[in-house]
Amino acid sequence: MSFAMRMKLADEILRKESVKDLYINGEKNGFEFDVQLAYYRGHYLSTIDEIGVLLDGEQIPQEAVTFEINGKEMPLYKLPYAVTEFWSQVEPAKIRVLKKGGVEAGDHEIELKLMIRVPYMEIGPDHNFMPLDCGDKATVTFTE
Amino acid sequence: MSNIKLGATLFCYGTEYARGQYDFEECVKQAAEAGAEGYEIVATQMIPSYPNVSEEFLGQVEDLRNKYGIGPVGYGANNDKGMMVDRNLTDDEMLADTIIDLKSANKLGCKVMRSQYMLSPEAFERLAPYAELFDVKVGIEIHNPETPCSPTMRKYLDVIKKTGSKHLGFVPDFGCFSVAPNKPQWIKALKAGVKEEHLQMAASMRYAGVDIEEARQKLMEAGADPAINEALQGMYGFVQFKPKEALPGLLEEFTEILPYCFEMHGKFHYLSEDCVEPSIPYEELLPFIKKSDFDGYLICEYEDELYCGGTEFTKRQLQMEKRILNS
Repeated sequence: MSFAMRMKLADEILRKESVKDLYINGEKNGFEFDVQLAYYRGHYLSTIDEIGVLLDGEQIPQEAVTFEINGKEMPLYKLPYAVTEFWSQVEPAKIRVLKKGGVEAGDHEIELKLMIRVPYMEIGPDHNFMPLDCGDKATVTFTE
Repeated sequence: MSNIKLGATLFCYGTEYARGQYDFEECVKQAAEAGAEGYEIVATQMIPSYPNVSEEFLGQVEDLRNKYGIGPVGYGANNDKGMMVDRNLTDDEMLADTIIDLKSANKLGCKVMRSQYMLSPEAFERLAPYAELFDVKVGIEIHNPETPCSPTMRKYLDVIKKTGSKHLGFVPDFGCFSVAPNKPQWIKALKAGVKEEHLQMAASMRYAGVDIEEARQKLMEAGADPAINEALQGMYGFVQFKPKEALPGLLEEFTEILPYCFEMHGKFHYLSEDCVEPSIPYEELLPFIKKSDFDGYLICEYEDELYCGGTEFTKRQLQMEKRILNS
């Protein structure tokens, strides 16, 4: 990707305060966090061109990640087809990541890759729209 | 005889809203305090149940009307032609989505809806009977770098004349009358280490109509900081400007479309304490509209390129508009 627009209106896109361990059957087995859409308006989920989570630089398998808005938790592969699911820029999405055994105590870097097509800014023929980089990363401390 | 009402788009407070400093109520309150008689709502930005208007939101809008004395008068629509993963929306689909917008605009009591040129002239033509049905006037936004009679806008003008519908028209955005460089881009470039003399050199070349690549090359040869590229891109893009001598020609174009304007966007990028917008010639534009037969809202619209928030600038913009219109 050569050029992508960024519009980081809020200081935090990936909200550090929201990062929590995720429990399955009483055991730590992953983590979750909130993310705000980094743009001045909301978008349909079908405008998401790329999404993924990395923990300390390591890619989490796509099937282990879900995306929730409007009370619906969805696997990532469904997002491009979610043409009626609108993500408001002031309602953060919840990202959940399954990881056996959870995250070890200490500092870790969480990175969200998120690329959106700005669907009203056509920059060329053949379905070519302005790319918007809504990704973010944050270093957070996990506890025992 | 004109009948100009002054409004503000809540988009002016987009930065405060995105940061959670203002909720919807606070945006309405600020617009009322700044002196707006009505507001525009950008649907994709502030309608919680977009694309539909819920009873709950409608109730809030009415409560706020009672509390602050102003309500929505304009509905800002986006035309999301690229919202499908694998292809552009067809005209049929664009039309269907725009009808949903009409429904929401009507529910909110907005008499005017601003659309964008992603909605093709053909789909725009087919929208006329629906716009009449909901009694919402739909105006295509004329946004810099377009001008009132640029080739793309002419196609819409042809449709408006052909249908003869009073419900199709234009919403000119005053950014298209820019006759001087954009102040925030200038400020940002200076902060990034670009020298003022190089910015002036870039502006002179833009006025003279020098090609962007040639301008870039000359700036680099003159030792300009590469950070000037963003400002240069703006000068040839969405915040481009023409020499002041081009203004009479632009006003002539404006005259041709004025009978089809039912809302205008008073764009502003920066206003210092003396309430002057450095790039847009309000001193010429506002008396021009005052003398016309324009009947509708002049909606002020702040574009927050500095990410500093629009509260103070919006107050200044409305003061400036009042001063010029009342003089």
